[in-house]
Amino acid sequence: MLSCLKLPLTFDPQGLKADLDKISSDEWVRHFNDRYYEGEWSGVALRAVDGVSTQLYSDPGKDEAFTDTPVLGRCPSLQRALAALECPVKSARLLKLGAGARIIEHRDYNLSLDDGEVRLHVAITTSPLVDFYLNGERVVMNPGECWYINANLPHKVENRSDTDRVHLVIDCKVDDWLRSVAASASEQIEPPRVSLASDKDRPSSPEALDRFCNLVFEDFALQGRLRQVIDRELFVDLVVRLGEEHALTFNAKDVDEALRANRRAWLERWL
Amino acid sequence: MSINAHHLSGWIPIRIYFKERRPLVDWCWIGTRRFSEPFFDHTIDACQRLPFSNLFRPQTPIEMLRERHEIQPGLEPEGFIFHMSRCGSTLVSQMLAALPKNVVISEAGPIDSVLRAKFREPSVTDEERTDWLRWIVSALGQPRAGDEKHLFIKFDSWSVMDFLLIRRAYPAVPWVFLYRNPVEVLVSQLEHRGAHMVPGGIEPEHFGMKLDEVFQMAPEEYCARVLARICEAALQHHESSAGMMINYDQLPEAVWTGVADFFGLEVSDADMETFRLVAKVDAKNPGLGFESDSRPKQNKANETVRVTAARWLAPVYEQLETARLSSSEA
Repeated sequence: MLSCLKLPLTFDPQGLKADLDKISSDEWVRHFNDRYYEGEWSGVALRAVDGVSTQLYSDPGKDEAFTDTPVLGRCPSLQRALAALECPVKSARLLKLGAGARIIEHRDYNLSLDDGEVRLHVAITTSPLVDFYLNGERVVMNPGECWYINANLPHKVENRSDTDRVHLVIDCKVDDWLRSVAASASEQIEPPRVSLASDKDRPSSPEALDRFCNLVFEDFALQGRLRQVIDRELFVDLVVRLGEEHALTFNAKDVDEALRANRRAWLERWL
Repeated sequence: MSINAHHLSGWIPIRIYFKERRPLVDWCWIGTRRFSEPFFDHTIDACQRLPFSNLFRPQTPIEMLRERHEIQPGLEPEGFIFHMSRCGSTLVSQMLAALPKNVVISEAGPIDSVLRAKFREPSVTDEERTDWLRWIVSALGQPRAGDEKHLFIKFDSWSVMDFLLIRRAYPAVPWVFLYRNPVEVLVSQLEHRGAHMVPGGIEPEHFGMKLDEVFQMAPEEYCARVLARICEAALQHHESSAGMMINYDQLPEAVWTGVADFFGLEVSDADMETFRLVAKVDAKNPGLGFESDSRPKQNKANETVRVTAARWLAPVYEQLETARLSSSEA
């Protein structure tokens, strides 16, 4: 499974930036998924269901009537960028991560080359102080570059700079053209080094998990790291890996069962 | 486990229970979350959506509450809300909770567990329950978001049966009792019953009843008699330690014309705006607006409900009305 690829497609960074100036500040709408970010994360749709520029939701797998929005109509460089993609383009959005804002680690689903539908990123304005991590590895995307990002993998972004970071984010169908572009990509990032903790080589040990929990109760730094993760699956994985770092080996099933047992104890509190 | 009281800053007791006759406490991470949901349990449910709060669940002996109380006593309660249930008490608590300066703990399970601990473990003394109550209120009544200054507790409706014990722990805290036309409360409870409206849901002894007796009562009669016991307890204590009696019909205005002042809460113009906004939404179903539903409730009452309400509840309701009107004249 590929984590990301820099595609051999380059767009005019100055032109794209000039297009951004054609969009007024009140046309940006807050991202709907407000559990996953802190600070400003907003967007403008360029292609959306029914051509509505405030419709930011792009549902993977759904083939609804995605059409151009009026905003795209006044942005020639963005039009050229989308026209350069020969594969079917579903949604296209400008997504802005404000200065100082961050997106907490999460995964999206059904968005990889293997799923037949992918998410491409074209950086427009960015900074060396933007940290984009995909599967635990930093990926640097420069203005004008076009990247395939496997959004099924855990990813997070932190904009530590004092300027907004804006990407053109495109969801499109995988066809022969896109496959050939991907195959000829020069800069490939190897399959993930950090993979989700596999249970194959880890024995079950609820006792080790108990000991790890006791460690956590006393370790504020460890607590801080664990509280960052909202996604349950990513959380289970992190607990297993942190356990290992503290020489306590247990598996994901142990964590899963502890989560369920606590839930049960709460739900059955009056029995 | 070597967990100590200092480790538990930002954690909250969510459950008190007995294991091998020893009272234990389960703690859950709450961080800076405010109690803005209508009930304590709803806030704890929301906390547990964070996997961290779901997985890490320290368990300690109850004495940990005393240690926490000593190092971080939190806010002293400034008002108690008692009620007969289905009478607008959640509206009152939600209005108070909407002001960022207030912490409102609404029907918290751990408070109920402490009050009714004598039924779980007969060896528990009143002194222990009084101490535990002070400790648990201290643990729940912490400023978390930053600038909360006032603490109000809304008890479960049946907690008024433990009024004397609560008074012993907090001799000077002002209290209100909310009640409502008995037919309307009965209709509401028979549609969707609270824990105290199901025979055996709360120990019959709590209401001075016997187990075999309650299972022989018709459902309407059981509900009416429990509600009557709750109202009688409030009335009885009103005579010795004056609380404020509030009829559902006085809501929501009574919050700013009576309760706030009685609790010593200063109400700014902005607070008034907030009160009015909250009063516009139904406290338990934030999607719906609050408006008196006395008429539909009265229309739903059948003959049995009317006869039962008249027999068991009308007399005490009249007494509550007399007590309320005579103290407002004084």
